[in-house]
Parts: sequence; C-alpha cells; structure tokens
Amino acid sequence: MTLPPKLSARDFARVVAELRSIVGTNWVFTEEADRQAWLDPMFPGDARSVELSAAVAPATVQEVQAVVKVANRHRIPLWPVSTGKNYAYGGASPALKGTVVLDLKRMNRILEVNESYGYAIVEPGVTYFDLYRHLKAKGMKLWIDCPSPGWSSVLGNAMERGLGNTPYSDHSAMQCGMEVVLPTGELVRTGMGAIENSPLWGLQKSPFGPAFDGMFMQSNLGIVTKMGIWLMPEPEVFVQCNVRLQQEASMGPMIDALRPLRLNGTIQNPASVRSWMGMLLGQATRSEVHDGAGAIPRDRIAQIHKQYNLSWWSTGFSLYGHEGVVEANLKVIRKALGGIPGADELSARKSQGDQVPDSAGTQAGVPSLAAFSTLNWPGGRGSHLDFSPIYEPSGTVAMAEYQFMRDLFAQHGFDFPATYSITTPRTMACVTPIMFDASNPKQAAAAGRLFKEAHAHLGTKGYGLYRAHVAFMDEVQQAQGFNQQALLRLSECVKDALDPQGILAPGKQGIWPKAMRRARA
Amino acid sequence: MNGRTLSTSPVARALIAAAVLACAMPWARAQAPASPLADNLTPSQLEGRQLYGVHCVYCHGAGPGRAGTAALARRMGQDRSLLEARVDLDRAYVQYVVRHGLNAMLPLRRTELTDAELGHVIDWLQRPRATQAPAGGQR
Repeated sequence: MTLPPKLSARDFARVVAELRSIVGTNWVFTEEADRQAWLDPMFPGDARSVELSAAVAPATVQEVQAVVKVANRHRIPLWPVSTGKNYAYGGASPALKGTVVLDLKRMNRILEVNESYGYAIVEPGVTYFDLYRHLKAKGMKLWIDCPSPGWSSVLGNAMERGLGNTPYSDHSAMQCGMEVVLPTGELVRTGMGAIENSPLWGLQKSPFGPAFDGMFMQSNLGIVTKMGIWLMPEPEVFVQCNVRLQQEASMGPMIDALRPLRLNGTIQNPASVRSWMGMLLGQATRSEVHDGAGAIPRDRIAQIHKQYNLSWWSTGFSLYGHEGVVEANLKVIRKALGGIPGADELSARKSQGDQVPDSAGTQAGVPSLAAFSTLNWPGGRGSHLDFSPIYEPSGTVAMAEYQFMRDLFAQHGFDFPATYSITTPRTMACVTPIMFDASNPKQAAAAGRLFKEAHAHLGTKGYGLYRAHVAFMDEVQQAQGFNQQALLRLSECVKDALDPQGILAPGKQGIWPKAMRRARA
Repeated sequence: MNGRTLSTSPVARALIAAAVLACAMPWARAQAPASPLADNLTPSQLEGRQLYGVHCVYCHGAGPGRAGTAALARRMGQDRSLLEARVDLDRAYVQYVVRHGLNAMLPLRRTELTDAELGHVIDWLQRPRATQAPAGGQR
C-alpha cells in the first residue's frame, strides 16, 4: 500500500470512501494490480519511487470539482492526466510518491465541431483517433493535426505544447478557449468562453482583459476540462515531398536552404531532416543490425545503409492548398534545394481528398501508432526517453550539435536517432528518443545519465528543452536561471495564490507548493 | 453500443453486423477485416470486433507499421503474428497482457477499456472458426 504524504492508512481509507461516493465505487483504483497500469513503464529508473496511492476517474466536471474539494480538505496531492499517454515524458506518472492520479479519460465527449469556422471543442479523454473518426464519419472536410501516437489526448497534448506535422502543428498556438477547474474547485472559462453561451469560444482567443490560457500549459495551476482547438480546412491538393541526402555533412546545408522557405511561408508545415538511424528504428531491431554492445560502430554504417536502403538523411515536408499555388511553390522549392551537395532529386507525391494515403501519416493528419514500431528496437521492454532540445534553425548549429550529441550518445552506449525539424518558422527542434530496455536497470540508468549530461551541455550554449520527463523536471526548471530563477519564483508566487493547500500536481514542471519547496541557496 | 441489450435473433445479428461494417466504412483502412461469418457472431463477439478495431488494430492489424504484429512475427513467426487469426489465445493470458503490457506493448487501463469491453474483445478473438485450428496452435 502506498499512502499520500503525511496521511495514515485509516484517514486514507476515509478519503477513498469519499472519492467513491463521488465517482462511484468502480472508478477509484487502490489495489496494486490496478494502480500499476498508471506507473510509467518507460521510467528511466525505479517507477515506484513516484508510485501513485490511487487513481480516481470522474465522468463530469461536477465530479472533478467535488474530488478537488475532497483533496483540499485532506491535503491530498492530485495529478491530472487526460489520457495518460505522455510516454517518453512520464506517461501518467506523478512527480511525488503517494499522489492520487486524476484520470480524465472517461470525459471523452466531442462537444462541438464547426466545419464552417474550423474548430472543435473537446473534453480531455478525446483522442486524435476519436476526433479523426468523428470527422470522417460526419464527412466533414477538416483535418486534424496529430503527434505520432494517435491515442494521445487532443487536449492533453496541447496542454503539454505538443507538436504535429501539418501547418497546424503548434498545438498550444491552435488552442482557443478553455474551461478550467481551479485548485480550489472553482470553475473558470477563458477567452470568449467567459461570456455565457458565446458563439465565439472556438474563434477568438483573447477575452476583454488578461488572457490566462498559457498559464495552464505545462503547469500545475488548473485542471482543464474543455478546450477549443482549431482544425485546418481540407486542402485542395496535398503534396508530400522527400529529399534523400547521401552525405552526412549535407544536413546543415539542407537546414539553411529550408529556413527561408519556412520563414516566408513557402513551406507551411514542420520541415524535418531525419537521420538514417531515425529511419532504421521502426524497421529493424537492434540485435538484427548489430550484435555488439554500445553504439553501432561507424565502419558498419555503409553496409547498413545498403542493406536497409537508407541514406544518411531523409528530408520531409508537405505542401497544402490550391493546386496552382502548390505547383508554383514546388518550383521555387526545387530550385532552392537543387544545389545541396549529396542531395537526390526531390520526389513529390500529389493526392487529394479521400485519395490521400494513410502512409502520409502525421503530415496529412492521419493518426496511427506506427511510431511504436520503434519500440521493438532495443528488445526487452522497449522504451524511449525523449531528449527534446530547441535551437535556432541554423545549419551550422545543427551540424555542430549533431556531431557533439552523436559522440555523446555513443560514449554512453546509445545510438543517436536524431531528427532536426524546423517546427515553427523560427525554431528548430531535435526530438531524439534515447532507446532503452526498461527491464534492464543498468540500461535505464545509463539513459538517465545520458539525458542529464546532454541537458547540461545545452545549458552551456543557452539552449533548453521544450518538454521533459517527469523524472527530470526539477533540473530542467532550475536551468532557467536568469535573475536567480526569477521565472520559477513567479510561478511559485502564482502557485501559492491559486493553490494555497498545494494539492495540484506537486512538482510538475519543477514547481512545488510552498510546504514542499526546498529552500534555495 | 452495449452487447447485453442486443437482440440475438439471426436477422438482428446480420443487421447489426451490417451496421457495424457501415459505420466502419469511412475509415475502414484501420478497421478489423470483415468476416464472412459475421452473421454467426454473438452480440458480444460483434462488440468485441468493433472494440478491437478501436483499441487493438493500430498495433495488431495486418500490413506495415503495426508494431505488435511485427514484434509477434519476430518472436513467434509470421503465421502466428496476426492476433485475429490466432486460435490459441487463452482468456486469462490476454487479460494479463492487456492490463500489464508485454515487452514493448503498453498496458491499457480500465478507464480506457473496461473489464466488460475486454471480455468482448476476447470473445471476438475466441470466436468459432469455419476451419479447424492449425496443428501446433498451443501457446
């Protein structure tokens, strides 16, 4: 049995009874056999070090509010998850042992989809699969934008500032209006939702006065129970482009060639340059490719490329819109990418409407779990810990960071499956899975050590991570050191004001309530 | 749709099967394959097939990009890689694997797939087949 901090078994039993009276007996999970499903199977260490005491699954906003009031009364930490699929960043795992996971999966209604105005309003339990099926079933000409795993929550992913691969890839930017249960149980609507029955909830982000939506992203200041999300009109044509690069050094020049196209809008979706290792992950297992310990030796690479028909890099992006505009843009792009040394000719695959192939994947907003094929790579309990730095979109920076990280990963015994992606017109992300077998404690520990060392390197250059696993949130937060962690101190000030009992997701993003805060030197 | 409320008359079952397939059509590429035996299925098996198409097929369907099918092909051979074609799946074993995960498979929680729904999925996997089980089908 795991108990919430400073609570006796007897008092916890009383709390569980109160929770059951709110959500129903079957929707509070305290038995070990049930609770284990909320542990993070990809935890880079001992997942039980932050083991939950229970999971509670309300079905309505009123039940969420009632649960929050119980938590305040007994000072029970609550960790809200939408679908709890935030794998590689912690899954459904809390940051503090004994926390009660607030599982919102049962709140899974698509409340509205407006085809004329291009938005949906959803509850936390709605997955990308759900929304995609809904649009298809209704014949609505709108596309979703989804991250690699289609079973993720539309709402939860936006709250974590997740990314997809269409022009609507920046999910936090596409969010419009929220309903939030505050840590005291009070219900608030942001944006135009602040006006009762407003038809503008899904259209206009800003209310009259301050906009607080960003405050509820990557934070522990509220439980978001409804959210508007903008959806892209189905384009007249969709053209998926690919350029293979036959030299290791071609990646930098490609990034430099893509940057102006991304900045001036010729390319509207994230343009990605994926390494051969990144492409190989989903096609093979490590033992099929290399039976030795440590990273795959460089003298094996040419043979592996041949065996699996890989190039050093593969560049991918797509064009969306009216056929004439897309054709004209394609001409500009062919010219811009033509002179890159080691670049093959650009291949372009045009499709439209229902003819867009499923293989177009996230670039066409088609949800799948195809990315999970990569989990077969390490063998055993195949897992990944994502290391997700943000850089300026510069070829020089990309090549320097690539060489540094490639060697650092190898020193720790890991392959480096990098993808450099110009995610927004002005940023380049390199979301890199550290692939490991979670049933091998030594490998899991090594993955954690690599993460810390790679993160420390970023700090020396003024770079940071866009997202991080719950096991590393404190140190990633601490790295934001300007003026003695002024940003963290601001977050703590807001935390104390909104959550005086400190019940909501203690430790999320490295923000702790007053009573649990360690004195900073 | 709740399996317990469905009529069990053969005509009703055929209609339900048709309805399930029709619902599946717009995104049929990701759904479980249609079965010529649909009108011999129980309501629970029909429900299970629909749930399989929602919760399982993305990893355990046929074709490329299916992580579970690829993993099973490596571990047990191509002919035993597709779960829906298997005749050797034990109820308790499936329950355990779905709730705890296995190797790279992640567990499904009772908030996303209830015990009753999981029961329907297993009923679908254990539906009677027109042909005899292949030899050597034991786990």
